[in-house]
Amino acid sequence: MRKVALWMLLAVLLLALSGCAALDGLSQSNALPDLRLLSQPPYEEQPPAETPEQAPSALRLDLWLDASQVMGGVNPNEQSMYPHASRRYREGGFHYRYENTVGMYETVLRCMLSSAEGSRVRLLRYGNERLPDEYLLDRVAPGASAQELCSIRRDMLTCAIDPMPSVFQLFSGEKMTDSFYSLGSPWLNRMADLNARLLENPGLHNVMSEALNQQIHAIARGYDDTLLAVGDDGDYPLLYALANLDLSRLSVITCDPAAIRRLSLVDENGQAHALVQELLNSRGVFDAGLSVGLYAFTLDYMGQLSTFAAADLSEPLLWGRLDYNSYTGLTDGVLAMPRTLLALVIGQTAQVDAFTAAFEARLDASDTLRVPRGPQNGQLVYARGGQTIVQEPFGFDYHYLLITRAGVQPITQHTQGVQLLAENAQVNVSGSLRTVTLAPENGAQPDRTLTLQLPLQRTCDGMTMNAEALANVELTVQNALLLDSVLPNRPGTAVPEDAQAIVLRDKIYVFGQQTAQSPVRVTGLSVSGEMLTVRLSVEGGALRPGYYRLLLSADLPGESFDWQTPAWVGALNASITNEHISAWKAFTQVLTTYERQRDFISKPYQHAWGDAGNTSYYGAIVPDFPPVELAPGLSELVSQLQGAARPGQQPYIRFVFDLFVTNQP
Amino acid sequence: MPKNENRVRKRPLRMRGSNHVACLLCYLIAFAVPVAWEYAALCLIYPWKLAFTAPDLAAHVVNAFPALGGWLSPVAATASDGAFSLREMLIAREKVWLNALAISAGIAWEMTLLVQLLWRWTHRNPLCSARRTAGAIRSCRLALVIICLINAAMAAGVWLLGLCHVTGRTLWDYVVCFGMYALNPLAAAVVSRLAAPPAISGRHAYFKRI
Repeated sequence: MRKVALWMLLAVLLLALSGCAALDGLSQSNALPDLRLLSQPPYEEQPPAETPEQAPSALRLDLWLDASQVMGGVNPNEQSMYPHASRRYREGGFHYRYENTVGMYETVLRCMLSSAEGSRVRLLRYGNERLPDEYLLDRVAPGASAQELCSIRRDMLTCAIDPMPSVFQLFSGEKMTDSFYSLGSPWLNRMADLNARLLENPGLHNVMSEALNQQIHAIARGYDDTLLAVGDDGDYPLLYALANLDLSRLSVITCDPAAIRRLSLVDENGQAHALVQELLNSRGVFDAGLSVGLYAFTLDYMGQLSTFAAADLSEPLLWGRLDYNSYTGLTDGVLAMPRTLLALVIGQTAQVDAFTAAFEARLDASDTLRVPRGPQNGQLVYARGGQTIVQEPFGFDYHYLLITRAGVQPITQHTQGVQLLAENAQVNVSGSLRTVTLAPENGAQPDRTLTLQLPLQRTCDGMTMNAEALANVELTVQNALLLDSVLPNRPGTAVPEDAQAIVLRDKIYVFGQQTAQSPVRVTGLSVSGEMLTVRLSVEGGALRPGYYRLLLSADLPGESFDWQTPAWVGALNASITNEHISAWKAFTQVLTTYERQRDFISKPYQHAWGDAGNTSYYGAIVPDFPPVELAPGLSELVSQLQGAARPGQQPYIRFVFDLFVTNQP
Repeated sequence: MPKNENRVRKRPLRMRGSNHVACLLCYLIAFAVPVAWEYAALCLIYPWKLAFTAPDLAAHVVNAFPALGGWLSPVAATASDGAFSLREMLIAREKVWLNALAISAGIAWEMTLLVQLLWRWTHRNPLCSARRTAGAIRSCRLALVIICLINAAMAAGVWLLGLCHVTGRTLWDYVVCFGMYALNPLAAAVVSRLAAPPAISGRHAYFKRI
């Protein structure tokens, strides 16, 4: 009996020592492993965006020279009452020459050429002459593709390769017969002077030369609509140049804005077409990472404008003339008038920047351009808004705008100033990656709210951005390290290689990468000051122990990129309506009717329609003189360039963070 | 004539050699069982049934006995948060815990054996063995009580300083931690009855002669 009592005493003692917990211990332990033993795989950064290549020291430069007739002040209408050259009138346009006086344009061209010193430079003459696909396929390269046709066109437009600056002297002359700017000029075919090996298609040298000769003869025989851009508002030299650009080269395109007929058209279906924008998009200029620099020069001009934008005038506009003294019969010099010339610089941003920096340095250093020009003491006047405007001497000036594809640096976990706040949870930062640790409360995961504060990235590349219009705001699970299986802890138990195992007592808890629904939802976005606040809701019941790697993403629609157009664009812009065009055409028609009946031209119409607007002329009201000193449609051109540069949806938020759901309170 | 006829000559107790061997084997077997059990518990049961459940013994000891802080600080440092990775910390804790269990069990085992041998040594004298047997039984029970107290104290120490901090304890925790302290008194009781000194043991006596 005492033995039994002794054993009972021992048993009671043992149970007392164990706190009677042994009874509970008969069942399996419900304890879960410490999930801190898990290691979330390190975040693999996206490879950084490719940085544009440095501009090579030696460029390949295509200098596209506008050879439209308004550019050269050439009046192609032989029946015009105005002489092509006399003591008072002189053609030449931007490229005039009188004795030792040459237009500022030639200096600008020289600066362009010297800015590309050491580069392979190709001069291309583009104007109102056309080389249609049918023409090329018939005479030059049967079966050629569209790209090959562009290449052939560039070769056929080439008028000099690696020229000396003196080449520009050949473009201008006191006698403008067969000048660079004449329609069907012999300058169309310079194949004989070119080294065939330097062409893109050297094997077609002779064929191209023959075709060009035929083109010249065809144009000389009369206006051939198939070979000329005549009367089509959607076909003018700038579009022709843009359609045939070589995107692998730096292209500089000079352009008389008066030669731009219309920048947008509406087709028969009522669909509006932005011509320049659509052309740049179809060529993939900005998609290729290229940039467009736009220059607006104020240059001197002396010549006749037979067309102005979409207005085909029966009598040209006279803008600038020689300083002719009717008493002495002598010419004292040039009375040039100001006009705006555009130039596009298209190429890789680094190349454009390098070229424009060198170019502007030369412009600023040029002594020739510093001297003011123009009439003095009221020598030349014109009427605008019923007022007589006396032209004063003016100087060379230029403005520049660089248009690049808008790119915004996405907000990531690396962005300075990002804050992730969690309600009843701990946020740890390792490197740049934030980990929110969610511990259970009273044995269960409660619903929580996370707040993400992101500094707004508003400005980029000189543009403002509307962050309120974010699209595709979503939160996705990049990967989830969750409990996969529970294996017995025995010798030889195999654990998958790509899994993580936590051994606890007699079990092996195997965690693996799984696809999981996001337990976090975006519940709100708000902008306060310069901070974007994103509210996230964590659904406690949907959480499973382990790690979630979450990606908060949001995109910025292309429409959100609002450009800031510089003030000079508005100042130089001229808006031309059909009403204006109609008034100008009607008045020039009256001029044709009545002035050609005389042997001389009435004095008021010897330059810029005289000095008194809104007066009557044979029953017709003399309209304001067209704003030839401005750039018609400049605002729309800039808008279309910016529209082409406007990207599609841009990633705006790419914020990665980890959610660690632990079972440890 | 004998010089002192009243003197009774006590003949030395004659023991067979096999009896010595049997007693030795009894000791070896009885006290090897707790050792074998502890070895099995720490090397076989613990890794497969109780892996990564060791308490932070060093920290608990330092809390209970702050004076040991300086001495145990290196151990506590290896087994504390932040010193290493969590996995290394758990391995270090387990190492400390298993060593502590082994040392504690070893101390209890040695003290049990010591008390039992001390009792045996005090009853080796064959004189008046009949009268001494009753006293030996009482002292044997007293020794066993002392042995139980010693083992209970060690078990209490293991509980208070370590096992009570283990979450999710199962029966295997108690078996591994306290099995030795139950087997030690049993071993002592077995050898006390089966391998008692020859002077107080007999074929049909309380202390069996083997």
